[in-house]
Amino acid sequence: MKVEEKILETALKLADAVEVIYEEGESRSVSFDHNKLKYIHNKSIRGVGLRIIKNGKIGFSSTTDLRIPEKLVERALASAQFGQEAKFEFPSPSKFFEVKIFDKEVIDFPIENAISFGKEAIDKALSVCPDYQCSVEVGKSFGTRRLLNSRGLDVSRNSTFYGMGIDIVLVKDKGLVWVGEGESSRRKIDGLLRVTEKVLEKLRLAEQEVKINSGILPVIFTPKAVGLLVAPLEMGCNGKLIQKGASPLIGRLGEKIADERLTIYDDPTIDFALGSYPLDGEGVQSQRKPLLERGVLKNYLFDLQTAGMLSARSTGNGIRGFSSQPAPACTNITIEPGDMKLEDMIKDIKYGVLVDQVLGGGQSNTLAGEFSVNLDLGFLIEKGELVGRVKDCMIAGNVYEVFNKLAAIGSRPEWYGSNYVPALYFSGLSVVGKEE
Amino acid sequence: MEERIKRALKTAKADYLEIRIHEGSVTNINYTGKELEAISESDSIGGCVRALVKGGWGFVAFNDIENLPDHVVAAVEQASILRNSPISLAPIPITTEYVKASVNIDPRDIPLSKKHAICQKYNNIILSSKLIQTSSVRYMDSYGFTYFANSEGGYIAQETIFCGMSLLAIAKEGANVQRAFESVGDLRGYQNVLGLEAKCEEITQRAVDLLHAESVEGGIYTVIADPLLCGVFTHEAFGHLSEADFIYENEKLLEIMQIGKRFGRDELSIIDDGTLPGEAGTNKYDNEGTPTQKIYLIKNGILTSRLHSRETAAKMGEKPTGNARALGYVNEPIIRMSNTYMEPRDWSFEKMLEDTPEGIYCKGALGGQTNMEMFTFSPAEAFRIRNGKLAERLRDVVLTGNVFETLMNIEAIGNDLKLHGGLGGCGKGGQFPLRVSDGGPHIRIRNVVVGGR
Repeated sequence: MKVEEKILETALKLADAVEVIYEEGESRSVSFDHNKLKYIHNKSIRGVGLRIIKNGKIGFSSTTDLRIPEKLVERALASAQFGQEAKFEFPSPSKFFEVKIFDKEVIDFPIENAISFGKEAIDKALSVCPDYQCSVEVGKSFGTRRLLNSRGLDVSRNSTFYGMGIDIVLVKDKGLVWVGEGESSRRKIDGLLRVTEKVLEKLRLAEQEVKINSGILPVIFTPKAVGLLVAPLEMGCNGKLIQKGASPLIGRLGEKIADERLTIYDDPTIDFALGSYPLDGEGVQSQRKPLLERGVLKNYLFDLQTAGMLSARSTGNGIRGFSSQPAPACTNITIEPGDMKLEDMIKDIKYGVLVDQVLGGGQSNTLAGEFSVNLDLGFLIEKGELVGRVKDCMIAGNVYEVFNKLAAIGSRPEWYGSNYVPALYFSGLSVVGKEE
Repeated sequence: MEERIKRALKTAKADYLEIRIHEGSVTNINYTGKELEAISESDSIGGCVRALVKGGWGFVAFNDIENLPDHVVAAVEQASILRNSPISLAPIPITTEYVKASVNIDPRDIPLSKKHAICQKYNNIILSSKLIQTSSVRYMDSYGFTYFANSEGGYIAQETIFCGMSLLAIAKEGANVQRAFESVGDLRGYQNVLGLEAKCEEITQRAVDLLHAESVEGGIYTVIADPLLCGVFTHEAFGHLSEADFIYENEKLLEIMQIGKRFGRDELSIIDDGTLPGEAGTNKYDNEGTPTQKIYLIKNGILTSRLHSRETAAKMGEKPTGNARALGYVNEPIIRMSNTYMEPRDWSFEKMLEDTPEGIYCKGALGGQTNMEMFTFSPAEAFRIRNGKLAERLRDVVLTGNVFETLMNIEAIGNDLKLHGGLGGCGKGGQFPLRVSDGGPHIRIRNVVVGGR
């Protein structure tokens, strides 16, 4: 009998309902630092989490020490004495549709082969400028998750991950520029050179440094920067913050809160996307659902317990690892593309800013929609052209206001982590630069 | 465990090899609003092997410590693939030591029911105010035992006990949502979380007050930072740049970061000290077995030292400083700060304030970030200064500075040093949150760019 089965059996003798999650995974990566091959990592991690319901209350514990399962059960029982009242039942087995999250090619790929990709990328960068300092990481992982509960659910899923990224730093006489790009997928992907080209192009644009006049200016967020603007909406739609009454979006389903061109989905059903899964961390089928549809607020995201407390249904967003209880969270965020190319947005602006990387996201009152960030990598646009990098400059606003000041939505979405989003172009945001 | 580790070490065929095994347990309690969202005690065991062969590192992390000898072989094999030019590691004393944690009250002696009760008490204080929509009270303690041994014959077993709590109040009026936050946490023991009633009341009042505070107007301001924010400032504005792994292979940066170069006015001294008893970033030895020390990064305005691992110290011909730290057994040690602070001088806060006709007073810290050139840091609360006096409360204040300019813009340094840890920590290279303390006195900085609408 496997340890997770033994834990289920032992716990069921003492508790009314039981759920066991077992995870094991192995990840391998090669990394280059300061243009040199530096590390090979190999991490094989496993662990088990036990959630029980006893006398109507939830208990939880987890461990990576599989030698004494009895202690895990004891600790979960101890925690159930204080635990929250359970407002759900563990799901029973049912039919569900698959989402692809496993690619055998990732398993078969020997990570040592990535060494040559890294060298090639660094050679390319150094041929442009010998002063560049590059760090490269290529990694892959394989994981298995088994979820068992006392209603007979027993599902195992294998998943894979492959990621590659390059960061290039150039030190100048006064200051430095640091640009990083990467791509990742649950499938084996190629193209570190393409990613490198992207970084080199940005470094070229950043060569010239210019001052900016403060004011309310038109601003474009590249797909990479759009994540900053999506974060408040992710929080606002989080079922937990709805249940606590803390979200500014509470009671506003069906209300138009943003420009009618904005449609945003939470979508864990995209094959091979980072945030995808067929079943969530407590065995509920994943589903694609709009957060915003033509500017109208459509959905909150729930796990079983949070949904139970509000007499709603889980949306299949119970996200967790073995060491924690499920909690509602976003998966893949997609924004429906618009009709304007990024190049045309730039051409459209007489005096404004293109934002690509920011510093200080999350240091504001994100829950209320606030952002106030430093332009880590941003460019001044003059008469329809990028004229140089702007430094020591802050951009601030409130997402719920700026989503109503949309000038255009980009036509070409790009993947950044688990976001698949186009550029967004706003008519006027507050920009403060350092004029001396 | 000692026998097992030493036996595995004997089989190692590498230029250098180290084994780290971590055993521990964590208690988590979290009230959010009326509900107890989490209460659990969890255990973990795991380890890692790091091998150096001809300048290349192989790193293996695992939970099945029974297979330790296999992992040693795997780490050596991996390192051998890299075939770099050999590197050296700066020498350290070969030590055998058992380091016991010293705490005022050991959280393991407190039953879960008591820890729960104190969370409930604080949570009730926060929720008792009518304008408070919800709360979060998070308690965490961890007990850890780390065995470290290397192929040079060093063997160190270190015990660590961390205990802390964070308190959050969220006030709401319509779509206007405001938060106030406090956090305590370090190696002092369970007393950290006792007697926080006044803090609960304070954040409750602050969250409510913020509902009617004005958003800051973006612009360039003179800023007075309190000791907590001065700590975050010190950490972001200079601490990270003094970590040698970013500079040791970068000639251009080495020129800029030459020892002896001026970085601030004569009054400015910045220290990293991993030996301060009870502070969050304290360890007797780092994760390479190097003893921690008090290091002046900047002394009287002049760059005097930087933070090293054994590898960067050897490469730069300097001494290792005991700053190679790993978040856990899944991570290799990288160069990190420990307890970083600015040395106090002679300004009293009252005099500093009186002497400031216009500006912003920033208190507490929500966070900070740096790209090694520019950095952001944000206070937990802020007030406008007018005619040398505190005026109206402000909100949504995020400050930015430039590493190469802002240190020169510190024009007054206070006499009231304080350090602070907390439940959060520092993030670097995917290793977050690493326990650190930051601190300093009140300071006044001119020409700070503040974002705003």
